[in-house]
Amino acid sequence: MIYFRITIGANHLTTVPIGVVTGGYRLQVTYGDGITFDGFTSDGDKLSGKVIAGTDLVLLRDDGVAVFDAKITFQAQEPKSHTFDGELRGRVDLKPIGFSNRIRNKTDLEKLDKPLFVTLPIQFETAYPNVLPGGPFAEASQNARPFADLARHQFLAIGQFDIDRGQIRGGELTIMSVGDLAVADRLLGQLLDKDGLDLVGKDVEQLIQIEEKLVRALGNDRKDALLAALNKVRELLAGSGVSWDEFRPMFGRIHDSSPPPPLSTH
Amino acid sequence: MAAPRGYFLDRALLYLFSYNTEIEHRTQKIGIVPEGARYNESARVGDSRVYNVFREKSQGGLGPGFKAVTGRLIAGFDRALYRSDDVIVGDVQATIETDDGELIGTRYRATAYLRPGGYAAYVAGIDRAGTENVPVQAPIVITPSFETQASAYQFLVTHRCVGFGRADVIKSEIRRLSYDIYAMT
Repeated sequence: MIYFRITIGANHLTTVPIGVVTGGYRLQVTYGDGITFDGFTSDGDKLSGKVIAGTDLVLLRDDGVAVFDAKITFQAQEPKSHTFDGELRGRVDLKPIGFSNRIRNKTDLEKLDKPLFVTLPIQFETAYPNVLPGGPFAEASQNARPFADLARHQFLAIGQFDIDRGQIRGGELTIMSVGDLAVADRLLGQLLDKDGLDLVGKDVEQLIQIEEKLVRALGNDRKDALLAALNKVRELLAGSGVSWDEFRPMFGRIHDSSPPPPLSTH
Repeated sequence: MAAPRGYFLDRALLYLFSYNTEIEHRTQKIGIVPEGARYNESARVGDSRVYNVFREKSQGGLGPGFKAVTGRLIAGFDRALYRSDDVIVGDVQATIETDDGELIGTRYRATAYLRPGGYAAYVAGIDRAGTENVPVQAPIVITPSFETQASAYQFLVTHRCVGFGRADVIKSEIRRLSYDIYAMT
């Protein structure tokens, strides 16, 4: 399945505080130039490009929850020139970074000053492939096939936003389908159970061995996508000190011992 | 059960402000999706003004608390869908900075009906409605809601609003939008 990583360099997001509104504190966030993405299509071809537009009206709710509602437009350069849209919507608990109360003013807002780990639903819109021979949408249609899976599946954006004194400025998001994450998560869970490993120890060598086993079990066609998920797990666990059991709900997974679902050919 | 009324309830439209939005010439064409043709438009924020048609500083005669809204757009983004039933639906997020330095966020849906067969002609590339000298003007209706912490503009938050607009269409692309915004009271 198609997957990619969005890299948002420092100061490529612009945050304007609209202020206190009903239910919370509103921020206008604009996605600027210099935001790139790279990954692989479902066929394994290299995928890369940049964000050409994006806006979000983030609500920092009075109960300490951030609600995102971003509209982002992506311009791929590889494998073909193609424009597609993403809608990043969902909530993130601010309690882990020390916020559970309402933000009343800019002084409160500036206390938001830590990276915010997020797992947000994101869904995409992209053109039907090859349906129009001419007209203003012909180019979008002609180059759409490598991107078609974006419009057919539900995806998650996992990563972090960098927040500096109340300003959302940058970050990194890994975009993966829910299906890929579920498969990776389940297989990883089985391997962990089988080997009796505990990620609290954060033994990198052990994790690499797990990854290698996973790749062997799955074959190379899904290797990159799954390794991306595992790397993200490793990074987040290493940085946070949480256990696998604590981390598991981020993937919305019900851990069991049943075999993983068959892999699609995408 | 109450008897059916034989009269209308009181209603009024209170004029609040107007704005003109210049659209970036290069729309981002997402393509043909199940509901129709998707494209995005961004406002040229430096050229987009918020003003009062009567150049008033307050809404005289309608009571205190309705300060005139003047300023500029500092962000504006529309995810538009030209539906296959010939209706254009917009999904807009925008932010206004008033001349007195306050920020007002808005989001709204927009609805416009151009003409029968317009969608098919547009996506086929045979509809080139409007020229630079004689743009086609299409009516648009929007239902914005506003957010601000500025006490002077709380009337925007406490009223449901409607906007009546015109889109200037050149070669089947919207180049300029102009709206009058009213509170429904």
